[in-house]
Amino acid sequence: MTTAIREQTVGEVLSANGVSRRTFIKFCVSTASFLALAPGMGQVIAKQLLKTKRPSVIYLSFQECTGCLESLTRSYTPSVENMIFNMISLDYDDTLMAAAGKQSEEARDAAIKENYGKYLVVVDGAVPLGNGGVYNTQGGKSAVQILRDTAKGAAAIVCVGTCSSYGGLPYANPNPTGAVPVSDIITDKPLINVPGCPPIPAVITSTLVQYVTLGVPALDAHHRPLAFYGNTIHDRCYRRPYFDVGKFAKTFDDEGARNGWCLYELGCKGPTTYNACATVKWNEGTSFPIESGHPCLGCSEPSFWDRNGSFYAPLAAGLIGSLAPAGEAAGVGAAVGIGAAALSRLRSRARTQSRAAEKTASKED
Amino acid sequence: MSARLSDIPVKIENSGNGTVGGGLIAILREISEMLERLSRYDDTAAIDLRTLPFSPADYQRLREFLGSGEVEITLKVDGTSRVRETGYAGVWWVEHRNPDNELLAELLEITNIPEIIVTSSDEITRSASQLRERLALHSAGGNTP
Amino acid sequence: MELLEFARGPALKVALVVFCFGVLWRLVGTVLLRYHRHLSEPRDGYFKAFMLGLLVGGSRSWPHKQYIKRTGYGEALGYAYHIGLFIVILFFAPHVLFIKSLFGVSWPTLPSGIVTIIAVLTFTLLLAVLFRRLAHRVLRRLSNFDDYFSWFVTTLVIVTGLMATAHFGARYETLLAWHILSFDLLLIWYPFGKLMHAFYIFPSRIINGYFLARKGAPS
Repeated sequence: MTTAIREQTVGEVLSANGVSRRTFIKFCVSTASFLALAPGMGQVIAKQLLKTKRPSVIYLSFQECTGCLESLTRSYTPSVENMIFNMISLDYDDTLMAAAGKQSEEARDAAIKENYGKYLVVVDGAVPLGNGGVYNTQGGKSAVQILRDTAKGAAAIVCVGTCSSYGGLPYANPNPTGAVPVSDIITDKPLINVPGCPPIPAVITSTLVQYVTLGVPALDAHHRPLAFYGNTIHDRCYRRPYFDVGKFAKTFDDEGARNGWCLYELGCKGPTTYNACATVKWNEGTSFPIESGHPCLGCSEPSFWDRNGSFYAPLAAGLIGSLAPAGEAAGVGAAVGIGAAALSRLRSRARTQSRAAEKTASKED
Repeated sequence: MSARLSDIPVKIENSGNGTVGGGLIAILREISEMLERLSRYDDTAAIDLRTLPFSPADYQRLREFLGSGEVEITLKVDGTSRVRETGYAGVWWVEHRNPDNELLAELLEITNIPEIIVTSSDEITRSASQLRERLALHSAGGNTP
Repeated sequence: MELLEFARGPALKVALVVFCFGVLWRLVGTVLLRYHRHLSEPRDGYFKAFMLGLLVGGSRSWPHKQYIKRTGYGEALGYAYHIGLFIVILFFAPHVLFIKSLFGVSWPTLPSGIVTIIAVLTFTLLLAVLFRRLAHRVLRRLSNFDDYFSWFVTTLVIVTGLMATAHFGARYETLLAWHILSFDLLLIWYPFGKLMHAFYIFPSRIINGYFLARKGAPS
C-alpha cells in the first residue's frame, strides 16, 4: 500500500487530494518568494515537483516535547503548511502515523530498505547518551542506535527544533541524561539545522521544499539555512528605532513598556539571535514575542538555556556571578602593596643608617 | 496608550519633483530589457517585488509609472490572487494572498500570460473525461443536464 | 563555550581580579612609601599648605599661561579625547547596563546615535594623539613600549566597539566578543602600564603641591 503511493508523482497525489494545479503553483511561488529565491524559481519548482516522485521521509522523535511537530501541523492555514505532506512521502513518524508498535517499526525498516541512499531523515529532539542511551528507547532500541541505523542510508538529515540542532532543553545544565545534538553523532551526512523552540512552521516547510527541489540550501556556520537565519531579530525588529535613539523599557509595566520601547534592558537576546521571527512572525503573521512585549529568549541559538546567565539579564551584562573574587583580589593586592612598601621602608632606613654610620666613622677618623 | 509602527517617525525619501528615483530607474531598465528578451526570444522573466529595497513611495511610483492595461483577473485559489496587466503589454502585476487576505507574494511577470492562468493539458484531459462521464450518466438516465 | 560567553564570563572575571589586585598593590604600595622627612615648620601652617596642595591639583591641570603656545595643542587634544572617552564609557546604554550588572547602580543614558558620533570623534582624536607622539621630536624620544601599548589597548576597545555598533566586519556576537575581550585586555594591562595614571594623577599633584606650599612656593 505504501509502495503504491510512493510511486506516484507529486502532481498525481495533489490532484487525488483535490489540490488544484493553480493552488500548487501559488504555494510554490509564495514559498520561493519567502525563501528569497530568484523570482521565477517558484514556477520552476512547481513544474519540477509536479513531475517528480515524492521523496521518502523518515521523521524520528527523540528527547522532545512534540512542540515542533505541533508547530508544523497545527498552523493556522493548514492547507498551505500541510501542502508539504503532499510533496513528501512521510513513511515513518511515530506521532502522526496510524500504525503502532511492531508495524510502525516495520514501516521504517521497509522505507530504509526501499529508498536506501535517497531518503531524508528529519530529527526532532536531542539524543541521550548517558547510561548507554537508556533514557530514550523505542521498540527496545536506544535513540542513538535508531539514529545511527536510520542515518546510514540517508541522503541528508534535517534537524527540526533546537533540541536536535543543539541539544536544547535536555542538553541544558546539568544535563542528567547526557543529551547531545544530532551533529555530535552523525558527522558524515549533509546536515540542515532548523532550530527554534519551536521553529516557525513556514520555515520548516520552506526548508523541506527547498531541499526536495533544489537540494541543500546555503547554510551558516551552525548549518542553518541563511534564507531564514541570515539576520538577527534585532536587525529586523520594528522596535529597533527605539534602540537607536536610546528609549528603553526598564520594567515590564513602566511607561517605556507601555509605549513599546526597546526591550534590550529587560534582557532581549535579539541582537545575537538569528531567526526570521521579526519578518515572518508567528500565528500567521499576527506577531512575534517582542511585539507582545516580551524580550527575545534567543531560542534558535546554541545552548540558549544556559549561556546568557538569565533570560532577563541584558546582553551587555557581565557573566561573572559575584564580585567577591575581585574584592578578594583587591585585598590581596593591598596586602602585597603593604608588604612592598614595608620592604622598601626597611631598605631605605637601612641605607640611611649605614650612611649615618659612614659619616660618624669618617668623623672619628 | 500603545505605540503603533506608524507612530515611529520615519521620513520617506522623496525626490519631490515627480521624476523617478535611481532605484526605480534601475528596475524599469530591467523590465525594459526583459520585455526585449520576451519579444525576441520568448524568454519569460519575473521580478520579486518583496525583495526590492523599495520605500512605500517608490513602490507607489512604480505602480503609477507602469499604469494599468486591459486585463484584470481574480483567481480564487486558496485565497485570492490578482493578475493585472500593466500599461505595458506583457508586463503583469501578480499578487497572491492567503484566505486571511495577507500578501504571500507579489511579482512582476514578464510573459505572454502568467503560468498560473493557463489551463494545463492534463487538466483539460481530466475535465474532458469528467464532462463525458457526466453526459453519459445523464443520457443514460434520460434527463436533461 | 562560545567566544562571547568566554569574554563576558571567565575572561572578564580574570581581568577584574587582575585589575583589582594590581591597582590596590600599586596604590597602597606607593602611598605607604617612605617620604622625606621635612624638618622645617610649614610657612603658613599645615592646613593652609594642604589646601594649597588641593589647589595645585586643579591648577596644574590647566596649561600654564607662559607655555600655552607650546603645550596648548597637546593639552586640548588630551582634554578632548578624555572627555569623549568619559561620555562614551559612562553614557552609552549598554555600558551603563554592564556597570549595573556589576555594581547595581545606573543612571540616565544618551541616545546611541550621539554616542556613536562622539566615539568616532574620539577615535579620530586618538589617531591625532598618536600622530603627535610620532611627529614630536621630544615626545618620540620620551615614548616607550608602555606609551604605545596603552594607546593601542584604549584605541582597540573603541574600534571594536564601533565595529559592533555598525555590525561591520563580522557577525554581531563575534564583534561584541572582541569588544569585551579588548576591554578585558585593557583591564589586565591597566595597573601595570601608564593607564594607571588615572589613579596616580591627582594624589601625586596634590602631594607635590602640599610639599611646595609648605615651603611657601606660589601655587
